[in-house]
Amino acid sequence: MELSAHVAAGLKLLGSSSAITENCYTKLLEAGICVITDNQKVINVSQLCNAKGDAVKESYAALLSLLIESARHDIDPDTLSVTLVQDYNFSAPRNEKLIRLYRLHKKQLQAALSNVGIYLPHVVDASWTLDFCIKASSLEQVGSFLYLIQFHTESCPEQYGKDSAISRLKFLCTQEELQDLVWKLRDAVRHVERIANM
Amino acid sequence: MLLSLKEDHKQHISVLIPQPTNVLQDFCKMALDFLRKGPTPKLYQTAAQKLDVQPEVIQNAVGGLVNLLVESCKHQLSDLDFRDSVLTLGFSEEQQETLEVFYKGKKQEISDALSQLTLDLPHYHDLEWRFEVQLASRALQHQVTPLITMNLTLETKTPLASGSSTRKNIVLQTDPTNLVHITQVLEAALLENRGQHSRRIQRSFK
Repeated sequence: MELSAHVAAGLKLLGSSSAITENCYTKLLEAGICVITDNQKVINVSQLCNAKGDAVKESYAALLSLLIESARHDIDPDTLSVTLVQDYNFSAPRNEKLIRLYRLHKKQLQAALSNVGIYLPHVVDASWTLDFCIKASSLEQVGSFLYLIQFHTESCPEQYGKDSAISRLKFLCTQEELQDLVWKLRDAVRHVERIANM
Repeated sequence: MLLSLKEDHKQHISVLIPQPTNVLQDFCKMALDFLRKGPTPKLYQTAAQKLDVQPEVIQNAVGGLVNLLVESCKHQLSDLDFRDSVLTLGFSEEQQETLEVFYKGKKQEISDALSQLTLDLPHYHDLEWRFEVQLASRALQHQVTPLITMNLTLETKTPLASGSSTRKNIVLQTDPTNLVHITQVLEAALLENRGQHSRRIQRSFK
């Protein structure tokens, strides 16, 4: 993992007890984790600590970069701990505090990161109605079953503003067509289960 | 039941009444072509020259014949009803036989086409799937995310005239948990039409 000079400078500030007080350090850590894992939350950094606004902002930005880059490269907490002490002069208590939080929230950080990027519309649910068609404008007697199937799909948040948008895909199936669809899906489930049991 | 046709429809079709049966057969063929491929003005031109009438007259006659068949299929006329309807229009016994053979032969095809006409939503046609594991993305390297990518083909049928259909491919993905879920939901849907309730409804409307 390589960090830019700006981030490195910010991390050194974060580690030095003269620039950031102990109390402020704890608040920054909590805010950092919170902001990444909960994308609804907006935290105003300048209200967290009243001392030295610039230093707080710089170290906060560096902390966010550090957390994201570490999670992104799947760096284990012990390696990160060594880097912090050796390269950025973190004191033992500060280092320990950060690593503890990182260890605790690493999965959540990675889950948040996995939502960033591009992906195909993701099917999350299906609903259906079953109709029995009796009569139609073009035919006096129809008498057949007809399914209306709806797939609920989730798309990339970026494309539709902030929230991930649920869109609905509708299509019709006759009994035979639905049978075919179910048969294919069941086939897929069977293969996935077999791989999962390997 | 007897088919009741509109006045202008009767007028269009009346051109055929004085024709011999072999000409009527040719018209039946043209009507079939119309059903399968849409109007063929060139054929109408030739026919018009042979019979020494305006091409529009031929086109109207073919259209009228098609309409007669479509209406008969729509009301599911029995062969007997069809015969009576045709005779009422003024056709001779011989001509009626020609038309009846044609009607019997094409009844199923036209009925199928008609039943598809009403459904304007795309129909399921095919589903292809692929099971894959996402290894990395820009935002998250070193990951193992199982994904099922699916290609859903939907078909919109445009029956009668062109006989062709337009297909649309929709690429979707899902995860194993949701795959199992949607499979269960659709399996339940499939079971529903074998249930007592569905069967009762089906019986009472047949």
